Amino acid sequence: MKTDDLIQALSTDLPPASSRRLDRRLLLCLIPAGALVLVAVGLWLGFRPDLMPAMRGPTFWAKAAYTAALGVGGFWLLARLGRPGADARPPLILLGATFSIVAAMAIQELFAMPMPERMPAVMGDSARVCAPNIFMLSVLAAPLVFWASRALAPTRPMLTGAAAGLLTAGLAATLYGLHCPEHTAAFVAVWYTLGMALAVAAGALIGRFAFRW
Amino acid sequence: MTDREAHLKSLMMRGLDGDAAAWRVLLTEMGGHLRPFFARRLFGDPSDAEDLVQETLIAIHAKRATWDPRQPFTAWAYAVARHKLIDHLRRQGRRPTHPLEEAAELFADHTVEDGAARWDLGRCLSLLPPRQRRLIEDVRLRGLSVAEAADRHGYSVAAAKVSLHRSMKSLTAKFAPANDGGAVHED
Repeated sequence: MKTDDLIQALSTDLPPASSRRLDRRLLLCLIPAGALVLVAVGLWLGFRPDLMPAMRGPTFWAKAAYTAALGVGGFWLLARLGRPGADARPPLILLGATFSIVAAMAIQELFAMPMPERMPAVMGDSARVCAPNIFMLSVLAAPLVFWASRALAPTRPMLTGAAAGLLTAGLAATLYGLHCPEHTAAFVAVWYTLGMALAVAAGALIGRFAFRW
Repeated sequence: MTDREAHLKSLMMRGLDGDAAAWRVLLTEMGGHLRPFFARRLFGDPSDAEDLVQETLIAIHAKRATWDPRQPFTAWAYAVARHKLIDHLRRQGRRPTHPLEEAAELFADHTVEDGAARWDLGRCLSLLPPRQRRLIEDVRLRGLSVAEAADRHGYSVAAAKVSLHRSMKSLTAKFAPANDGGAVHED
């Protein structure tokens, strides 16, 4: 096919497009993805029995703030990596700062405790299931997120996959907070982060194949 | 440079709004910019470069929503082009399929250095009388045997040998360093 004919074909019937609409598409996919995770938490894991009183305290919201901030950072990173030539450093800085703050809080919390209380604070009652649960919930939401992300044009597919995984994991972990009654910063910093990291790693592998264009 | 950026950017904005005429102009101009961009970076079949131009234009079209208006248009467009180039090179690396007829072209002398050497050689040889020069070119550069070359230029074999020897001697005298003028490489 000659290039002129190609240009002719491409420039007939041109529907409008915009960067903002692309962002909206990504954000809109989070609604069904979130609904799916919410249903899974409700039916499979069950909401924590003390959900109502817990929502009146700060710990519940602090946990949600951490996971949601990582999700927001993941979204921002995804939106940058999906645009050729865009600078991906600002979202990476946000993500680094978020994690550093929570890690610092966890360390401070542990140092304030007498020695015998430290290990139980880190392990809680659900250390073994926390990361796998977050990972499984992410797996549920991932197809929608990756499908919506295919409209992007990532020049680094694996890193972009990791960002999409982080967005998915942020959503899943935030909603997992409706089930999980753990309340120490140390637990969240270790096990929530681990669960999300698993989703990020899986996302990187998926991105390698899903983000070809 | 900034003029081109502003011009292309305004075409891009109109294209995103659905202006097909502006889009056609943009793609045509980008094609013109991309052709030398790829040609410079590929040493092979020129149709590869044209394929890449087309692939990049298709990507610019299909992924046009990923351009953020706060970003320079050319930075975005060339990032797309680079992605297509890298993709192409990677695929080529995976299956190096150069048809045999093209191998000669791959090894052909087209480097800058080679061109310069050739030009220098031409200048040296131009010092010789034309008939002598043609003889030495045939024997030393084209690889003909002395007998063949002598036959071609109407020399006897013996006369050709003498002529070649004289040519080498006068060239050596002209260009060899003054202190060891006798070091002639007669191989």
